[in-house]
Amino acid sequence: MSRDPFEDLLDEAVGQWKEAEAERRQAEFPDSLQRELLEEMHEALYLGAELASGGSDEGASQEVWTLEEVAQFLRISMDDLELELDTLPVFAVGAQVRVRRQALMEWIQSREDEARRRHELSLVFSAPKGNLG
Amino acid sequence: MMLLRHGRIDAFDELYGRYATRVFTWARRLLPRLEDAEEVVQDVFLALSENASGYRPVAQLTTYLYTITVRIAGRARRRSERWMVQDPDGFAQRAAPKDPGPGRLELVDWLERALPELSFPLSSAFSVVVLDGKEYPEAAEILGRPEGTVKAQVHRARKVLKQSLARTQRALPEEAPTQGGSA
Repeated sequence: MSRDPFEDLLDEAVGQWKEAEAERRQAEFPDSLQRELLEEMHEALYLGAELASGGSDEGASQEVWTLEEVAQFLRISMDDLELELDTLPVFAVGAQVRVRRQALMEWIQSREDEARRRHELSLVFSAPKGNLG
Repeated sequence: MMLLRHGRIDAFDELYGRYATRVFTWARRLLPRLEDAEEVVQDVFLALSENASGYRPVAQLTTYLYTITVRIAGRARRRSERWMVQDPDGFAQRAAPKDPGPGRLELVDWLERALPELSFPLSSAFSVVVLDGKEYPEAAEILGRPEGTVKAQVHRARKVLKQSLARTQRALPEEAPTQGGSA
C-alpha cells in the first residue's frame, strides 16, 4: 500500500515551521513590544498594590509630587511620562508642574479598571488541574 | 514563582523576561490575529500574578504556563470568531498571511495560515503534540482533555491539514514550481 504523499509533505511543512518559527515570532514580538506590554502590566500590578496599601490614607493623599517622582513611582522614563501628560491630573505652580498623589491614584485606578475590563480576568481564569489549591 | 507568591514585582518581571516569548509563540499558533496573541500574553501573566498565592509547585512551571495559555487563547479565539461573524471582511484582512507569491507553495506560510483555521481543539492538540513534541500524558494535562481525546484530535488535525495541503496544491498553477516535489 503506497504512503499518502501529503503525509510526507505535512511532515516537511512541520519541519520547516520549526526551523522558521523562532525568527518569525521574534519579528512579531520584538523586545520593544515586550517592554511595552510589561509596563502596562506594571500599572495594573505594582500600582494596584500601592493603592491597596496606602492610596486612601488621608495624610498621604495630600502629598504633591514632581513629574520625576511620578515617573519613578510608575517605573517609566520621563519620555514615556510625557506621552501621558494630556491625561495625567497635573497642575502648575508658577513654572513647575506637580501631581497630587490622590489624583494620581485615581488616574491609576481608572487605567487599572480599564485593563481589567479588557482582560476579563475573572471570566478567563480557572485553576489548572493539580496546580492550585 | 515562589517569590511571586510573596508579592515580589521583580520576580514577576523575571518570569515575564524568561517566558513571555514562549507564551506568545504558543498563543500565536492558535490565534490568527497578532493583537490577540499580544493580549493573551498579558492575560496569562496577569492571571499568573493574581493566582500566585495559590500556586503549588507540583508540575513544571512551563506546563503550568502552557495550560493557562491554552485556556486563555481558547477564550480569545472564541471572541475572535464572534467578531468574525460580525465583521468577516475586517477579520479576513487582519488575519491574512503574507502573499507567498504566485505559483509556489511555501509550506511555512501555508501552515501559519492553516493551523489557526483548524477548530481550536484540533489546532491546540496539534500544536502541543506535533509542534512542541509533548508526550500524550503531558499534552493531556496541558489541554485538560483525556489522553485518548488528544490522540484522536491529533489524528483528525493531520487529516484535515493533509486535505488542506491537497486543496492548496490543486489551486496552484500547473506550470509553477512547487516545494515538496509531489505536485
